[in-house]
Amino acid sequence: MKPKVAFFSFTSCEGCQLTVLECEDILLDMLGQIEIVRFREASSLKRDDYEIAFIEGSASRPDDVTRMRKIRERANLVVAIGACAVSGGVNFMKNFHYLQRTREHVYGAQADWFPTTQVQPVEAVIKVDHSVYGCPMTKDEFLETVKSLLVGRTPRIPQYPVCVECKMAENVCLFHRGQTCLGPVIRAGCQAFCPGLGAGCDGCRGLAPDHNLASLTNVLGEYGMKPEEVRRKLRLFNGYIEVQP
Amino acid sequence: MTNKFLANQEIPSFLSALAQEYQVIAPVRRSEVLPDGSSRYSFQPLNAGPGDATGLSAAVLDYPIALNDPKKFFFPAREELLRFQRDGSGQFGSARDLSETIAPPPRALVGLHPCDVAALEQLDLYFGSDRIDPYYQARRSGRLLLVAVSCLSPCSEECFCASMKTYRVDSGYDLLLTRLGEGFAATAASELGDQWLQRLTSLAPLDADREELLTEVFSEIEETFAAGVAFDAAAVPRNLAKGYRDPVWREEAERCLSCGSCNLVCPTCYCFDVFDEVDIAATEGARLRTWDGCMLKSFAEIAGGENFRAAREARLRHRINRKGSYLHQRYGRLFCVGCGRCASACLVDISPATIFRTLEERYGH
Repeated sequence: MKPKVAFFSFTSCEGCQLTVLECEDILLDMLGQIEIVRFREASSLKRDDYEIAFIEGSASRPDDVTRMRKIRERANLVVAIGACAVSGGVNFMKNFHYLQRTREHVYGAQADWFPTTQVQPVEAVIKVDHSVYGCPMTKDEFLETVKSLLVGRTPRIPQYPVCVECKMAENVCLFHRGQTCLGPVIRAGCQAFCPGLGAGCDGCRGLAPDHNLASLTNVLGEYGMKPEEVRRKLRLFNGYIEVQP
Repeated sequence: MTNKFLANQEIPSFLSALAQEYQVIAPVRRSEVLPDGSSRYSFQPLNAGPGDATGLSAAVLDYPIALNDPKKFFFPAREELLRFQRDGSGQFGSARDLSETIAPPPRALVGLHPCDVAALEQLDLYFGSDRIDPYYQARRSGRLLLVAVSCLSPCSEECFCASMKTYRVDSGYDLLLTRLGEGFAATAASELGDQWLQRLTSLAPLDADREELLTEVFSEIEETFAAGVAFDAAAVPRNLAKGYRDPVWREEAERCLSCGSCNLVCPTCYCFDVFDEVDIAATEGARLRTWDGCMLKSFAEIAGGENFRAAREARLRHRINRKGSYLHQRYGRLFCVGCGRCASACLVDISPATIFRTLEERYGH
């Protein structure tokens, strides 16, 4: 029996669902192992008899919480995919502004038609069994997670920071180039994609479990960044850490 | 042994001659000029064809230090060890050891500094004495020409080869190039190196004046590096033993980012992680190994979440003791060549040199 899998989308750009479709060369093999019963970006099928739920996006509307809870009741396993689902991602910035003003800014005169709430990552609403990090999530990490769930083992997701992948790729350290980077405190797994292209890490994969943010803040200070600026920089993807229990 | 003079204008033809028999690997520029005025370099295989950016002309022989040492050509950052597949009964029965399939082309590593040569000798010890690593050996025992380049002065503020006595090595390579004005003195250090110098008939022998100059350069090297000695390397194992509970570990580790950069750029770090990957249908897969680092928290974590070295200071103490004490007990030599890559890569200025010196001040009398 192939496990039945569903994909759900909450507040997000749906880029992580797109990443699933980008697994083109392996998609048919994957369908040999799992049965997809709901996946709105690829199928009109809408069944509710799933065992594994992949959730993309964060809760930001009143009925999102109810929907997420219903998914949790039906699924044996819930996997948060992508930064929005894992930590609120970019959406979480909304929580640092007045809700009504944000709403008016986005929807203008029709603001009252669109109820909105504070942003919550999936784990703030329901229990999450596994997380696939990144904005968007990486294809490799998604496949690693699917494969691991199929054989019943813990997915092998890097715990170490981006520096490891930069050093393996022999990238020139951005700090040595006079730039700044959040790589030393951010979870690897992206193969140091941004630093490899000469752009400092913005932290889309979240803090590495053993980060030393206090020390990096001092380093960034030497590069002219005040602690307040470090906090703002982190808020691009990691505002959640300021309120995380 | 033969000595010759390699004039600057003869370097291209020298490299072309090597390229006829070897894949030439040499340092190339890896960065623009950085704010501190320096540039970064990396050992890369070069195309033998003329002109292009990855060709022989990209080789740089006067350079401070390469980002990573040439270890990566013998012990890659990620490699497959085995391939396996399910047999008729559904079991993963047959595995194929891939060490037998490793067949690198003949390679000429050009531009190694003495510290890199010393590091390679230490890796040879680990991968080839009390345990034989077939993957490393398959690459290391291939046809190889090692061309070293003398260091005339310390390459960075962070390097401490002066203290480690690795600024000059007299074995472990085939040819040594030493800057003499408008060219290099090329001296043979092995049979293979000697053969090559004899074959390069277009190069003039080193005349008496240049022989004399070379002797002077070598004594200048000795003087320059003698002035840079910061601690007594011979006392390092003893000082580390005495300083096991010293506050230096906490003092230094407090600002450690746990980023693992020091491990990954270290030419004598050889630790790796081994894991399996399977295809989506779990019918076949591979066993892989990747570089790992003892400064990373996940390194010493075992099943059940237990961790031998969960604290940063425990990890720093372990790493420095490996370099200066534990491996010294096993192999009778320090497993650090003072290249300073770890200290250069460290954003919070943690250096073995500082720790060795601090412990010497506290316990060295």
